[in-house]
Amino acid sequence: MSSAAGSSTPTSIAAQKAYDYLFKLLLIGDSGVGKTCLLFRFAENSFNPTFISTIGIDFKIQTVEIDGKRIKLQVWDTAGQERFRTITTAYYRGAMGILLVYDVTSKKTFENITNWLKNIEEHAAEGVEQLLVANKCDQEDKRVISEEQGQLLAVHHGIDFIECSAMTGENVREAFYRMARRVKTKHESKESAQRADGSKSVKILSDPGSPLGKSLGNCC
Amino acid sequence: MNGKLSKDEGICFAQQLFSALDFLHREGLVHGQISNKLVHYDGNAGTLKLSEWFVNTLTDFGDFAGTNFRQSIKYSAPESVVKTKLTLAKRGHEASSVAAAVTQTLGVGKTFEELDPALRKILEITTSHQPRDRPTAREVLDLLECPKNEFPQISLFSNISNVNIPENHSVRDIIEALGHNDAYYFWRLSSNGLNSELERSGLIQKTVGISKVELIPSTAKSSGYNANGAGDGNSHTQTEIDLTVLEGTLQSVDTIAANPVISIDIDQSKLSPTVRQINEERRLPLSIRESSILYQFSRTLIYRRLLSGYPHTLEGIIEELKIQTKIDIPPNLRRYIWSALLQVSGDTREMYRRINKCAIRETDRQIDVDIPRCHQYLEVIASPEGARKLKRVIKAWLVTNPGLTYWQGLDSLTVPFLVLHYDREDLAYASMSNFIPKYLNGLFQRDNAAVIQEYLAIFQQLICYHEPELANHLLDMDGQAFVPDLYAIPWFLTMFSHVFPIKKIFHLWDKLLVYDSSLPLFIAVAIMIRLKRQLMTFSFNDCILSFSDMPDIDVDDIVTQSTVLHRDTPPSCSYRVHQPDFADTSLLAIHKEDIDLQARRMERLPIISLSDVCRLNRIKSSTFIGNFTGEEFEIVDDIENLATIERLLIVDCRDEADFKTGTLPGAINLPSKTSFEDPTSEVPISTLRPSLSSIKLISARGSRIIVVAGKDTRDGQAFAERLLSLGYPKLTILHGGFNLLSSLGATLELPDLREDS
Repeated sequence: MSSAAGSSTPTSIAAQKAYDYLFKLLLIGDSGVGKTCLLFRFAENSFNPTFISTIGIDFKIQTVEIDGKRIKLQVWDTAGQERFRTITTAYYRGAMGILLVYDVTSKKTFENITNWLKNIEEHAAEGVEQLLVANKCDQEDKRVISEEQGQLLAVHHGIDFIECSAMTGENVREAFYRMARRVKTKHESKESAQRADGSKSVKILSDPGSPLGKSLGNCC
Repeated sequence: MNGKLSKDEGICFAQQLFSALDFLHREGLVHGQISNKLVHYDGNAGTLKLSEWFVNTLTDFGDFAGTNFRQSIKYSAPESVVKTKLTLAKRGHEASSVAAAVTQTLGVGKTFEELDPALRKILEITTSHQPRDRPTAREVLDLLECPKNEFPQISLFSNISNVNIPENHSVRDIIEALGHNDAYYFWRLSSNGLNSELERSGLIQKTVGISKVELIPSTAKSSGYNANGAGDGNSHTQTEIDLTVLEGTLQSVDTIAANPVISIDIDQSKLSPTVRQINEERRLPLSIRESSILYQFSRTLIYRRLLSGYPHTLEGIIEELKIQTKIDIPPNLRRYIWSALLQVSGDTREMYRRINKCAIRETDRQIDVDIPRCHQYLEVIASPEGARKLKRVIKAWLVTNPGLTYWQGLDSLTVPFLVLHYDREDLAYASMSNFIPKYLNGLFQRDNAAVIQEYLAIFQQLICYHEPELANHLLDMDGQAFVPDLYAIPWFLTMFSHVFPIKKIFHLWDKLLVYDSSLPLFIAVAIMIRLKRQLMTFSFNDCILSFSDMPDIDVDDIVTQSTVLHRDTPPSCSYRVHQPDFADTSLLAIHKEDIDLQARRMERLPIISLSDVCRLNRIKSSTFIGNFTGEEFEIVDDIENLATIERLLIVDCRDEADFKTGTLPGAINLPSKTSFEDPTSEVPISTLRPSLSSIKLISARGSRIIVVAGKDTRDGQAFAERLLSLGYPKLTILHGGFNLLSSLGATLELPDLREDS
């Protein structure tokens, strides 16, 4: 784990940056399931049904406070089209939490979750936190995937599950907070293990290395 | 159309009306509201005109206008009272309406038996009880023994002809000569738009809505559009557009201004004040030029003259067209100018008609998901008809390009063409079909990773070349690198159409179309330069956020700067293997086979071909490779005089022993191993060790292009990267290094060592 602060004193930088942890989260899932809308709801607390499609990658940053710790969430919002996979899997590197999103009104997006899970297995760090997110739960009349089905799939893969709606805002904050909390817990336990090892404590966490590796283009 | 007509006139008018109806039906339009109130008599020409033919199409039979249009019952076929929407298939309704209108006019005060027999017959068959027994407009025309009047195909450039303004012209002459489209365009520039004109004449009222001002047609409330159909006296109001302002502006158009000359090399003092004013406006910002009637008028005349013979005259006009386009494009003619620059020709209508745009394909779902999110601020694209058109054009392109596929972004890319050719999908399709191979070669392959990776790598290299300080900052931000993969994919994959609103895309592509496919790289570099001041203070997090929404930048400025960068960068520095139009094919140019794409992505600095080195330093290429037949020789100059005008400094970074056996003309030697100081605790980066050669290098910094020549490309890269970290701009690597030179059998020159000794 490398430190964003490098060799300078971590505490002073932390004070200057006004946060305790920086976590990289990733949003993945089929095109049109509402990844960008979820993120927009979380970061700006508003909803725009005609968001432009995401090509490659988009970002939002939101600082949350959990148990007195200020956590900066750097959320990477990926393109959903299957074709972009070769490009987007490069972004998995260094992600600490991944939100897998499907649309309760589209069976196909739910079925594809299995493929997205495969991608995580191949490209993300081992032990990365995962959360299955069912979006558009406000559209009861169009729903084709029940909450139980979602729950069942999550249990099957041993991951957490939540239903939410970017349109109404229901559970959106909850989803990101839940993810942040899990990453924090994991991170802190690692940290204390390191301390026990006698290794130098590292306060600020950035994803290891550059987003696509330090040197240019060795991403895929 | 009232009053009595003679029998011949009557039949003649019936022919005209059915002929108008036939034309509408051929164009796929249903009038739906024909009544004699909508038939207008043009006394001068002696012809009839049918108005409001577009209302139903525009409003989807009233749906979009929030009102229910009903044909006046008097003229309706019985069944149409029940069904509100008339489809083209049921166009039999319409013939009966026309017949009713004609009869009402011609038959005033007559009994049925007193009517003209021909008219009686038409009336009988068109009002047949069974809709399927009624004839189409064309069949009525046949009954009237109307000669088959083949309508001329509306061709691409039918609106484009030379504007002939008579010698002693009046203002009206000018407007007449311009024709409807351009005259209307200039009128719009002179006015506050159609809405304010309608408001002035009391036809619409402005009401303030909660979030915006809405315009509600007051006619919708009048009886004519109401279902009760009780009289339609007030509904079909016509209003004359006020031309005073436009006429006032065009008043100053004199004979010289009315006949603009294309060549710019004329004695300015001989020009009239109006022409001088127009010429001066050329220096104003684009947005001001676009709102100046006189300026746009002058540009329109020039372009219409240029384009009047298209496509037959393309070869003759293309160079002039490019020169003019580099200045600007009048928005009213953009669709024609773009088509000409993209060399669209042939029977595009027929070509498009033959494409199966309906077959279900695997990419349909993705297209359906993307279209509702694509440029939705544009009303035409956000409309249901706009969405259908967009999908059809995209699908037509996919069907005709079986090797390529739908990538998200293709939707955004299609929009500018569709907006320009909204009424001609075939031209939107044909334009994009010619645009993509030129500017997006390989990007819509199923696997475009190699193309896109090379694109991004070269972009990064060009940032290093022009803005080393910025590049160094972006590539090392607290251990993270803000690389183009994080922000520039939509730039290149959609030629910026995914990141800018339509008006900016238009201005950007206006220039793009006259340059080769390397311009987008320089547009991207220009954007980075424009944002440099901010970016230099930004952390990684600030950077990713700032490009998440494209900052509001002046595209016209960016594009102008990109053309300067394009001019000032040796062409081989932006060479891409996937570039379809790379001009230099000489022996000393870069050749595809010599490029290792994998290695290329790791290289920080651009390569330069020996061909460019020769050209820029005015070295004869025969110096190296002898007199090959067929080889183009660059400018041959007296070698003696070259020292003062050298634009390049060649740095041979091999060991001194290698250097002494032969090098490039004028090269200095800075061996990699001995030219840099080791980093110390005070100076953590390795600086240049002082020597005569290093002084030459330092004095060339910033002013000359530095060509680092090593054993091979990699050797040169390693050396140049150390200079990059010292902030040197304009660093390039000699492609292939000396190894490639010797494989070409090049003869090298013994260095002049006098200065160094």
